[in-house]
Amino acid sequence: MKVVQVKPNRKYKFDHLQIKFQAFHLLKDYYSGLVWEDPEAYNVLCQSLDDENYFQETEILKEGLELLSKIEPEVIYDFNRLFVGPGKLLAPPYESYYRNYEKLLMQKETMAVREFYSSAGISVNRFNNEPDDFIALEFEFICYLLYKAAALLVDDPNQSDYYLELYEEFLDRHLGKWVLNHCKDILEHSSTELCRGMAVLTKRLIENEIKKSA
Amino acid sequence: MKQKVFSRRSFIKGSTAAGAALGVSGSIFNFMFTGLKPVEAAEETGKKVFQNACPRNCYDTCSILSTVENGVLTKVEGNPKNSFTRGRLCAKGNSYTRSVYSPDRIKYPMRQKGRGTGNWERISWDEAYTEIAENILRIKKEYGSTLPICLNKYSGNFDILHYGIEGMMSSIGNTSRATGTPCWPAGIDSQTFDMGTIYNNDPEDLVNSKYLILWGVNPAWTSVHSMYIIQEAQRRGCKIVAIDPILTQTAVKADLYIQVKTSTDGALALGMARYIVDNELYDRQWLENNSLGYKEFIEYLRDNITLEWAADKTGISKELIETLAREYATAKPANIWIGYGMQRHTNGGQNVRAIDALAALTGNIGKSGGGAQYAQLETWGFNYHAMTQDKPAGSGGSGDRAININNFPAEVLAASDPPIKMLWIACRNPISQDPEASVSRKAFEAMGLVVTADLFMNQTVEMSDIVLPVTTLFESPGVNVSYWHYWLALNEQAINPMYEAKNDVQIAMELSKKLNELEPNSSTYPTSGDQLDWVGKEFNSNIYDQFGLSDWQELKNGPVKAKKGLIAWEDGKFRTPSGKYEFWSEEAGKFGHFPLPAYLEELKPTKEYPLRCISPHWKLNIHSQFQNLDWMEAINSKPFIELHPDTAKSYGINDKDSVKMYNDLGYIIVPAKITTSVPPEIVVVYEAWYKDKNFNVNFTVKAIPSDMGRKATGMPGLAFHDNFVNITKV
Ligand code: SF4
Repeated sequence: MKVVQVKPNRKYKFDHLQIKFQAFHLLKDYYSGLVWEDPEAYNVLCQSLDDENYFQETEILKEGLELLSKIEPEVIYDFNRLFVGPGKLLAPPYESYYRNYEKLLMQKETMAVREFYSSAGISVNRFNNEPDDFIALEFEFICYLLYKAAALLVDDPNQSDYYLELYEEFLDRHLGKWVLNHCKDILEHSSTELCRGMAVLTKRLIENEIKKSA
Repeated sequence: MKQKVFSRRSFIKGSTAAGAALGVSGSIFNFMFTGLKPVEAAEETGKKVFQNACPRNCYDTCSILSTVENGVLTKVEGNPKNSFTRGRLCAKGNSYTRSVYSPDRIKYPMRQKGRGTGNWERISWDEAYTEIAENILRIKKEYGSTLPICLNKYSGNFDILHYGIEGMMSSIGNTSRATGTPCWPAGIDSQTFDMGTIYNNDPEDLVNSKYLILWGVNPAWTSVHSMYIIQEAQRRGCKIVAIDPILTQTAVKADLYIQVKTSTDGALALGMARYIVDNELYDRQWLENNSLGYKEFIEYLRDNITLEWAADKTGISKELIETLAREYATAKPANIWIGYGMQRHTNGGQNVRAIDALAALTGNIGKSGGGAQYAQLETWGFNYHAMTQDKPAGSGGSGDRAININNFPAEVLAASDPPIKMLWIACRNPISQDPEASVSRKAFEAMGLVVTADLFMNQTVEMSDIVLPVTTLFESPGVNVSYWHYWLALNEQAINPMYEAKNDVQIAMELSKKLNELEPNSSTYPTSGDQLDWVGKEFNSNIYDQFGLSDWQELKNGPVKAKKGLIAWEDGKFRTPSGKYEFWSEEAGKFGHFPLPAYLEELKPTKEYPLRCISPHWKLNIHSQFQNLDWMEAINSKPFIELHPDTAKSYGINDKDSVKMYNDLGYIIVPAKITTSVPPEIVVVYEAWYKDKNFNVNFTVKAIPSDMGRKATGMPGLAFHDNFVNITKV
């Protein structure tokens, strides 16, 4: 484990990165089919987001976060209907579905994501088995960029800033261009509070990040 | 803020996926890659072209060239090296990139909690194998054999390696098998009685015909590449005659269209034969040398058949029958292509025998440009290595049990001693394509476990407990031939299998491994092996000889065509008991048919159900395949019923009105399409599966057997087109 020594003047920035990381990591896990067992986890996340005044308090956000702690038995079925199958997906978790005019996977939009990863020295483990623009992979990539930015914060601030720029650019060119529509599909079709809650959180997170980078 | 570590739960049952890192979550201090990785070496990029073959249940079995860029399939096109495919695919084939990369593909093994509930959970392959294997072993223990396990597999993919599914069943013991074929058995038996087997001329030879009757076949929709050849023949002066109850796209392009009353084709053929005999237009020399029983046949014609009778039966004027008979008998060579639709009747087999008889009477058989074309299996002489597996010693039962594929659900329900408890379904969507859809559901409900391997969600998957994601033709290797043309093509693996899809042979191998882990020697199926090597194991010296190959790997350069046997029966050596063309077939007699091609009365509508419903193939699908894809949906997304204007008028139906078509079995509600292309006494509903629609023409189709099929395929065919219904505006 790499231990990062944080100087006081960098503390604020580091905390910020950590919060973002945690939020995106939660989403990455979620889309990979992993949820925290303990509802407390969601509360910690909510608190951390509140603490930093990171999200503006709105009713909808509060509602969304509250929903997260309710894991119903129906959740898995709903989750699968939305994102996994075997039927027609109600909210396909793939960028090209939202951006390709034919709504297909593995299209040029997917290849653009592949190239972006590659420019940061990253590629997909299950190369050409799993679309590069699968949402969990995009979130994992975001986490990687935040991790690099945090890890280099002290020793190489320029490099750290470079990763933050990549972070903003990836949001701007990719996640920010489709995830909101994806969340809309979830909110329209989901029958469980967890999935709806996650959609609200995702939507707000992305909206905030785009706003800030704009 | 402190990083607190929470344990996590996976949605994926039995997940041991590497890097899933259950229990802890990565943190900003300790980032862990799971789905991504640092680039080590440059991934393989660039453009490559692969040899593929369309494995669908389609005459054309096209040779495909697939372009793969950076590991992604970007284009499919017909292979110009194949002179039948001629560099083109059909609308269905052109849509392949769309099925491979459709967001709706089944991606992972999944288990349904409660059949038909739509409550699915994702499971790992290991979990799937464990549940299936435990179930198989439990059944074996309880019943003393694996006979309660039943396979229903047929024509979804005709690649030879796909017979590995049957092999998987053999490898666990004696099982129950859906036996027979729904679509063409009556005609197969007819030609088996007449000539010994089905054997057609190379379809590229159609250009040499001077006269061509397209009898109950619609290649403009179902064999587009043959249509090109037909039109080429027409350009060279061949007269094209289409005989069909429906004015098909093919009929529109013919020089002469004859609208025959459904299921009376035999009467037309016999009427023509009578005219040919009366006018001495038959080839006595050929008959003397090559046939058995022609004199009895002539006697039968003289005693039983008149042109007036034929005209009355078929609705075709006596003069037209005479003209047709004269033209056909005097043009040399004259050819007949017999479609599969016209034998889906309770008298379908006899009708095909009567048509064959015309070709024999006129001495057209065994000649370039002549013949009675139905289908061929001459190029199918593979080793069936993937299919042939030994049964494990002491696994119980004395042989496989045949379950009639054409009355599958009822026979599954009726099976006893032992009953059927588990279904394995592959390359089929029986709930959509079988008759009596409601019985199908009941049969599924009675099962302990239903496993379906498929590409897309459909009615059968809906009623399954476990669904396994399978590869498309581009994701695993194989080898393909046609039941029509004479080309042989390798199917190369062009891309990685998407998601967690696996090829059926791989599934069989891995299931075998699991079975043997749980109970040693419970499956004989090899547990490993390279798929491409397995393709090689299908070849033998006969195939090499037939296709002029010295090694199957030569197929990597492109498809090859058979070097011999392109004109059926050219050597005059028929494969009947007598070695001759048999007008009089003792063999037919043994199967309970009249030994001569005699007329068997067609089924007639009843008072309550006065209309005949024909459910032919639709141009944008093959059974339940293709119509679910967006391109096809963009062209047509709705089923409909075709009605003649007079019929529509008598029922007070206008175009696009909602029509209920029903009988005692079930009903469908579809919009009306009023058209003179169908005759007044029939309605047409194309058989298809539409995504997200509760439409299935088979809700109204009874499992009525056709007259023939038992000899060659084990079971009679299905009289799909003897479906009588009523309609009402709703
Ligand atoms: S469906 Fe038939 S015509 Fe179309 S590409 Fe496949 S084999 Fe060729």
